This record gives sequence, structure tokens and C-alpha cells, in this order.
Amino acid sequence: MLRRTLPALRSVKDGVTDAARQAAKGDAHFPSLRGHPAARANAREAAEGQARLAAAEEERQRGARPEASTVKEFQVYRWNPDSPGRRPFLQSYFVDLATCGPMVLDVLQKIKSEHDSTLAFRRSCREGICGSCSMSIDGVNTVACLKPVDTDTSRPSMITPLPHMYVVKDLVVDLTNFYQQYKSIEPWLKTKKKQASSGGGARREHPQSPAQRKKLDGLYECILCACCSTACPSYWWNSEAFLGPAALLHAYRWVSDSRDDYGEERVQALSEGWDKLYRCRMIKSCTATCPKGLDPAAAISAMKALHQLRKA
Amino acid sequence: MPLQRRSSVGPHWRPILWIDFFLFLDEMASRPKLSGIQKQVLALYRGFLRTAHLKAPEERRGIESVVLAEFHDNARDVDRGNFVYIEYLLRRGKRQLEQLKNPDITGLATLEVKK
Repeated sequence: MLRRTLPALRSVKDGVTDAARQAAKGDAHFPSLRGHPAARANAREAAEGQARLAAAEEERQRGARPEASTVKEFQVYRWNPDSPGRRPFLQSYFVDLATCGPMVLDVLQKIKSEHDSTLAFRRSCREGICGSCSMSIDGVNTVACLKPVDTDTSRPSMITPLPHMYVVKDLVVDLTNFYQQYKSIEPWLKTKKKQASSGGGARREHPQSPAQRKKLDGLYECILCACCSTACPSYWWNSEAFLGPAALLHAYRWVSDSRDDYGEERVQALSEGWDKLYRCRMIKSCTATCPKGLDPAAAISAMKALHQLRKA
Repeated sequence: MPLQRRSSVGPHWRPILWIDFFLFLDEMASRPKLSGIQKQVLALYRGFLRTAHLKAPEERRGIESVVLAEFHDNARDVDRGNFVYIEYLLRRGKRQLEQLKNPDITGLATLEVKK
């Protein structure tokens, strides 16, 4: 069983105080996640949930609490364009968490393989690197593969597609506009220096110092899962005009890259016509929801500052 | 035989008067007003036919027959009030039209899935 291999946490019994103590201790249980606070919080949540689940199962087997169940209800958004008469609805699935992996994506895959093969959702890497399985889980946009199942079986979990996006089927949304916006910021390296021809002394590499490389940390990790953009109220109401946090984070990644020579022009292009950049009102839903723990709001405000400084 | 009569300047000929203009306006007013979504559907249909014109003649006939059948079927089968589905079809159609506009794409084909 997967969860037997997880660290045995005592937080099942004396929940809050113990959790606080662990937070103070920090990396004690997850040394490999040192320096990744979001991942550590995630891992602790997963481990605690699984421990709670194991305890419930054990109690049931002992007969102490026969009502302790490991079966949880999942309400999944369904809409199929092939049966146009039906309105979108929430379908309930009852999944036994004891025989299922720890993440929401595992639950979805179990539903698809054992309960209902018509359920449609995107997934690929199952480890938070591809950004395919982004959806709204219990009202929070996140990637399903990194989201531990809430093991409290007394209340149902709700899984819906990303909010304010056009649904293609079930949990699959239309990301055409999102990718188009990403394309519009020209996410590639642009240099002014003439690239020497393939003869002697060709300049094929773009060297960078460790300090310059460090500026890209917190920017390059973005996987374009669209969780932040679809959590942004500004983007909900103006998705055609406003580029959204994800595209702007990537724009800032190229602006702050020492090898790119078009930083000023990039900022200039973004601040043209007000809508693309300045529709951001610092709501910070993007930062709150990012499954990779990045800070798009800070990147956008940094770009606004760059633009204002150049104007002054 | 109105065509023959019009060709010969006879008793039916008369100059264009203001009344004709008002009659024209009246006819325009009596024509059903199209809603936004209906205009979008017609624009999409027109876009498909215009794009078909850019292709080779034999391909063009194939594309037109597919497009015609698709629009006719949906006009007949889809409930007028089912905006969710009509908007979905519009988005799908726009995506397909974008693909069709690519000069490397020569034709369209449909596949009937037996249930």
C-alpha cells in the first residue's frame, strides 16, 4: 500500500498543535523538499490525510467505530456536446479512498477506469510538470495531480472545470485564447547581436552568470496550467483584452532574462493600449491559487514599475 | 412573363419615385430582425463558403457539400433556445474554419460513426 511508505505522523490524534509543531520544525519530514514551501505544505497535507484515512480504516476493522467509512462522494461536472438536450449537471461518484491513490487525479482515473469511462479530463504527467490536469477542486483552481484528496468522508468534494472558460466536454476547457495570448508575448529569446555564421568563432551559446540565472527562479517554473488566469476576476470579464497573469509572468520571465536584448521593447509593447497589462488590479488571486507556488502578481507589478520608471 | 415585359419599354415602365424608397424601407422593416447569435452563425457559414472559394474547384464542391449538410442538419435538429450548444457549435466551427484557411489544407471529410 502506498500510504504505508509515508512517514507515520501522529497528527491524527492531536491535530492542530502537532501540525503547528511540525510547521516550526519545517523540513523534518520532507528533507528533499527543502526550500520549496508550497510543495512541503502540500506533502504534509497529503501525508496527514492518508494517516487519518489509515486510522479510520483501522478503527473500523477493530469495530470501534463501524460508521467510520473510507468511501467519499465526489461531485463531478458533466456536460457532453453529443447529447445537446442535457444541461450541465453534477454527477456523484462514490470512491473508496482506501483502494485509491492519494491525489485527486488518482480518484478521477479510478472513476474513469472503474465507474464511468465516459468522463473526459486532460492529464499527462501526473506529477505537476505538464499542467494538463488543471481544474477547480472544491472551488480552488489547481492541478489535480498535486492536490491531495480531502480525506474527510463526511462532506463531498466538488470537481468542476476551470471557471469562466468555454467547456469542450466535462472537465476539458477550450484554451485556444489562453495559448494565443501566450504566443502574443513572443516567448522566445531575441538578441540584437548578429549571430555569426557557422564558420570560425560562431557564437552559439549565450553565457549567463549564476546571479543572472537566479533572477529567473520563480518565473521559469510556470507550466501554463491556466489556474492563475482563470482565477483572476479581471481576466474573467476581459479575457479578450487582458493578457492574464500566466502570459504576463512569462513576459516578465523574458524581460528579466539577461540574454534577451528586447526587454524595453517587450515592456513597451505590453503597456500599449492599457488593457494588456494595466487591467491587473492587484487582486492577487493568481498568487493565492498557483499550484507551483509562484507569484504572478509580483511579476506584473514589477513590469508596471519598469514601465513607469522608463516613462519618468 | 414579367421578364419580357420589363425588357421592352412599354406601359409598365415608370420613373423611380419616392414611394419606391418608402416601399423599400417598409420591406426592410418587415424582414425578420436577426439576433446576434443568428448573425454569427450566418457569418460563419459565409466564412466557410468564402474559404471554399480559395480551394481547387473539385475540392471546393466537396467542402461546400459537407458545410451545407452540416449547417442544414444543425438548423433542423438543434433547439433554437439551446444557446449553450449553439455557442459550442459556433466555437467549434470557428476553430475548424481557422484550420481550413490554412493553404496546406485542401479538403474536408466527414466520418459516420455507427452506434
